[in-house]
Amino acid sequence: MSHAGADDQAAAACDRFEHEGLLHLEQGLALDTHFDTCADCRAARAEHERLRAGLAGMAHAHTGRADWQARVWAGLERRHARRRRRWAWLVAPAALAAAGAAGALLLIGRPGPEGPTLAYAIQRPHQGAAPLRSDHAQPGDTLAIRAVGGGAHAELRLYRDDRALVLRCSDQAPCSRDADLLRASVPVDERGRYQIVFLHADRPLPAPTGELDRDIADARAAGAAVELRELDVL
Amino acid sequence: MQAARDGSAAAGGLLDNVEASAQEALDRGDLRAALTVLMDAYGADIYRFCRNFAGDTQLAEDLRQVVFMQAFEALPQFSRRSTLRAWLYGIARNRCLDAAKGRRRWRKRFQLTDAPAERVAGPAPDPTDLDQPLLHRALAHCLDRLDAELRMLVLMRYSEELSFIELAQAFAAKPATLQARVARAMPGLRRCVHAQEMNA
Repeated sequence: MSHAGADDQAAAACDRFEHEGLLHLEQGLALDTHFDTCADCRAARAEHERLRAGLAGMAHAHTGRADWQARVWAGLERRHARRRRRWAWLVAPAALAAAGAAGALLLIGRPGPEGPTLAYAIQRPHQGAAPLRSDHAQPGDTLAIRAVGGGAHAELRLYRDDRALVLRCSDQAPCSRDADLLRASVPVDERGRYQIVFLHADRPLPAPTGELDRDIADARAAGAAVELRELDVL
Repeated sequence: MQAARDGSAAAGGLLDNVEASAQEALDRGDLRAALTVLMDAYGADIYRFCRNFAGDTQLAEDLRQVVFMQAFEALPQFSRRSTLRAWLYGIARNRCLDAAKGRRRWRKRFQLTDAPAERVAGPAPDPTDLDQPLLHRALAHCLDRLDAELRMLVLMRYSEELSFIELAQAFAAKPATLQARVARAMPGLRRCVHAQEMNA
């Protein structure tokens, strides 16, 4: 080996801690003796522990406002008062008469001038026909989605965490279409933040990329109307 | 739940007592009591996590408030597939992601006060340790450069000290996947912190 080559080799620091040791630590595995004898790895590990201690100490002393719990209860009361006002106009006598038996679907959606155009309900297995009104579900539930209106081209999509396209359909299963009413029944098995999107336009919709923000932007650029609802699966 | 962060057996027992107490309240249908247990036990932790994630005191307050409001409404459907602690951090994760997606969209939906957001440079340093202020500033700067999901993962792992089982429940991902992500993130974070400290 030439003198220059030996210098190059000596200058190259060992990076086994970065590529191997750190993962073993996270996995709870014992490190082999190399990590005790190698100066580079010992230094890298010491630095890692310094960062861990630094992260553990961040904002440690701060607990926020003293009255924060009272604000939580006040916020809940305000929210419940708003819901009581909102549902008062939805559950009108005429609507009650039309709703029929206990299997009627109570819809969750923001009412517009002609009523909600995108709405959903949560159906829980083994708990009877009564659906749930909620902005959160749990794994194993089914989302019953309903969308009304739209041009010649309309579709329902369901995203998870903004970047996983879970569902896309229009008039084929799991969607069904009856005139301008589009329905879908979708089981949700994974936790996350779900986005239900209803798109409708007078011309073909652009194919989705799978990323929510980009797909919405592309659809709007193509002249589509977009409605969005979000819920958590916890 | 500061006492629970030192990893001792006593700390683990404290967490178990909190979980049992909250579950008991849930079992007898007392949602208010259950939420009170959770707020008393985890309120400071959730605030700290939100503050470290967002770097914004007012936003952290609002996020914490929304997390516990949502927890109250979701408690009747709590499936017991995770600890309540991991479940709360899962809610916090979703709310923080909403905040990261766009402050404007978040404020329209969740703004709970009219006070302008106060941007802080990072966590308050310990005045007794001359090295800590620089390290914390460097960490805050470097964490801010990570994408939102990775930042949350690093904070939950090292600042909130969640186990990988709990992280898996909060992130709906496999522990092995999260272990690899954390291991890949830390060298870059270390290099960034080193550069910040050298340039200070």
